[in-house]
Amino acid sequence: MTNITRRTFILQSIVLLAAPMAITTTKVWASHAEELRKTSPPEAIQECKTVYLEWLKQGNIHPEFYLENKLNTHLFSKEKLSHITKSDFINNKFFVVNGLQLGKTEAAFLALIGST
Amino acid sequence: MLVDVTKINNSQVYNTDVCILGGGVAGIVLANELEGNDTKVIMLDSGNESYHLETQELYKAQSVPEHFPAPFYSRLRFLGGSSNHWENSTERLDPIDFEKRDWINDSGWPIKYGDVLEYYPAAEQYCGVGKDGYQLDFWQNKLRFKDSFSGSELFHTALAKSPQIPTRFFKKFGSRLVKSKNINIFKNANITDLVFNHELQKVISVKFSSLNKIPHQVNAKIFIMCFGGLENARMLLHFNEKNANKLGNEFDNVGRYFMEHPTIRAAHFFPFKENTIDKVYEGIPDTSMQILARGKLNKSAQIKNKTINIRLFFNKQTKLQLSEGISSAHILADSMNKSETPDNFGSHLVNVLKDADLIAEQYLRSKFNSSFSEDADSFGGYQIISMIEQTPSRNNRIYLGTETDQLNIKKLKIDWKVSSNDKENAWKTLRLFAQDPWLQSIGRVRLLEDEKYRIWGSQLGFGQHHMGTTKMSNIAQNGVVDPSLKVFGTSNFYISGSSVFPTGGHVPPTLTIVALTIKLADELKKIL
Repeated sequence: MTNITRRTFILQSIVLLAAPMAITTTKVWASHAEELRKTSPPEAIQECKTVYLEWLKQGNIHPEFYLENKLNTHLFSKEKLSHITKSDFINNKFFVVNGLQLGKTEAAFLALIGST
Repeated sequence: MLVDVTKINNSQVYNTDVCILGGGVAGIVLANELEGNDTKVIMLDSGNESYHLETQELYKAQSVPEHFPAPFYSRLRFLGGSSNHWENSTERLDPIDFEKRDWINDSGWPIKYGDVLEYYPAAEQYCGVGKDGYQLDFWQNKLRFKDSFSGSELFHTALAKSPQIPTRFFKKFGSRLVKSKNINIFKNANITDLVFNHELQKVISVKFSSLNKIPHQVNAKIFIMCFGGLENARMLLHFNEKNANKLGNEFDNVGRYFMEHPTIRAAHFFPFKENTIDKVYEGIPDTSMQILARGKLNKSAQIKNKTINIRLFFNKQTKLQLSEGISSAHILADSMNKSETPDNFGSHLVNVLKDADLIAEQYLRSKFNSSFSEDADSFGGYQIISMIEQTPSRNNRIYLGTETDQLNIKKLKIDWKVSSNDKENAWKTLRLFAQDPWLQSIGRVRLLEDEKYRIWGSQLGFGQHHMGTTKMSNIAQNGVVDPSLKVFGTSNFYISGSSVFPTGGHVPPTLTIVALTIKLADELKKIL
């Protein structure tokens, strides 16, 4: 794992997403989130819980439903998330937590990780 | 010749062609430009060749706003002026700085960017940063660095240059002036008064003395005031007290529109990889010079978003330095000292608990010079330091107080604040950076909006650039000097320095001060 500040929990998680993983395109969002919960450092998971709470506080639907319904898919891939994040940035779809500026979809995924 | 006024025991009257008031950057450049021709020049400076406390005390202000740097410390009152302690960072203003921007009141200069551009190369030589300009292509080619902003449609890289050894203007140019046949420098010469013929609209003479108060006088054809951004206004207000505001102050503009360069530490940037930002953004040397890159909002983005110019510097930080827990601990401590509860009290408490080990590390280091965490010193990200353009406001002003200095001249008072519009524009620009589509593959940004009271309060930094107090304008109603820097209502009295800037831009003013002064010298040579 690259060396980043402990408080950049989101980024640790994003790095996890960016790191080479054997993800198949048949995995659903929830399954991948579960896999990351098992393998990520505890402080990263703790911070994902913060994202989840903020996600709900801002009146959003459950992140799993958001990801599946909003994107009309329950398929997950690292490349898809990366592509959608870029689109979120281009279309001004942001989610802000503790001042950290995230694309909405990546925030939903992090919230999903922190949802259990 | 260098004349020490303290050694002149009887009142004297001197006659000359040009009298330069002030021996700082502008005064020295002007004298240097007039050196070697038939024009007789006298330059008067309050100090001598080095710092002297009694003289420096003449710079004490009566009052300044909370957190504002005391003018006693930010300025130096001896030959060379504030160049005796500046960092010598130089950048040119941008074309947009000279243009009228309908979202910024009182924006626009009465001269064009092109009028100053032709003088920038010579100004760069004065400032010791060579003749190669600031073009990114040129320096990238020479120093082989990566443009970290390529790919962004909103931001680009701009370069600041400074010599390895800062240019002390009197040290660099003084001996030539002292040896000159047509220049006489009077040191320990404090201007106390000015004689103005109202009918002819002409300054006839200035009166000066050392701290021993023996009065002397200079009669000249032309006078140029080069005291600096605060002192130009202070002395002009002083002169106007006896002259019914005829010297550029008919419309109460002297001292107004005072601008600084507020500097904030309001965002953190976390790249996915440690070496994303090229080392040129931390500054790299090139023989005798330091080249420092930073981010800048494109002109089109400024226009589209109706926002101000900002310099973005990237300051590499360790995990310890970027700890949110340490930051929250400071906020909680500040609030306790004021017996207040901060906004987001719960979040700050959680931050402190989560970063308890880094807080302990910080405590160990500061109290016991000890450490238990090597990881605390590993790369954490970047602090983004932003120097912002302050928009002109009539209510930001310097004026005369009731207390006087040793020479019986009223001390200055300063009213100044950052407008809510400027604060909002600073956040807007930082948000543009944080949400730039180009950035999403590189890293993420955290805006420290929950720390805004500290950022704009006790943590607010300053460029210590004093601008706008005798601003340039086409008409007297809106300014103090005309486009040729002649004081309105006079035929032979000029001002040079950052006090004439109608807008401050977002870069250090010295390069532009020098350029404007060289331009003024060219114009004076035509009429002398």
